[in-house]
Amino acid sequence: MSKLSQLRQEISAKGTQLAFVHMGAEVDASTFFDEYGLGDTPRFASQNQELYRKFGLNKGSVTQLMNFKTLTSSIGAFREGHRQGKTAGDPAQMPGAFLISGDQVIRSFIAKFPGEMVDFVSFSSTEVTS
Amino acid sequence: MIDISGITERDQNGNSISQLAERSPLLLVFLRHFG
Repeated sequence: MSKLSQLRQEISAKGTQLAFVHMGAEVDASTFFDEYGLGDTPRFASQNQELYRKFGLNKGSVTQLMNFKTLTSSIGAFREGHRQGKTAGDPAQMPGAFLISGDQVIRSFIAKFPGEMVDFVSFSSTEVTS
Repeated sequence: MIDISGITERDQNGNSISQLAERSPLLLVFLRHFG
């Protein structure tokens, strides 16, 4: 989340807006996003995870949730100073990202393990690369 | 194929995903959890 907060300007420079989908209550989300300087970004609450399912994001399997990559990702986040507080959401839910233009999804990323990240700046570009 | 126009969820300001994506491309990030 802090990475996205840092990259927000670069994403915006590509002409792309940033928005989030989360599983928390709006009152908690408001505080959380404000803490990262993202309080004004659009956010969609999907406490029943319906919006996740509409985009094909399912819950992770045991092997996706508990593997070496997940462990090293967690250790990396801990080393960067991130600490897990009270969780709002479902830790078994797999994350993802989609680039949408008009009514079309032009790029999609569905994580293979919980800590997997995409290069959000490249991902947010609508330019076609060969 | 995801039917973006058929998604009725609204953001904290009352906008739908398709309304936001009409203005400029939208990077929609799905969080696993927060806290």
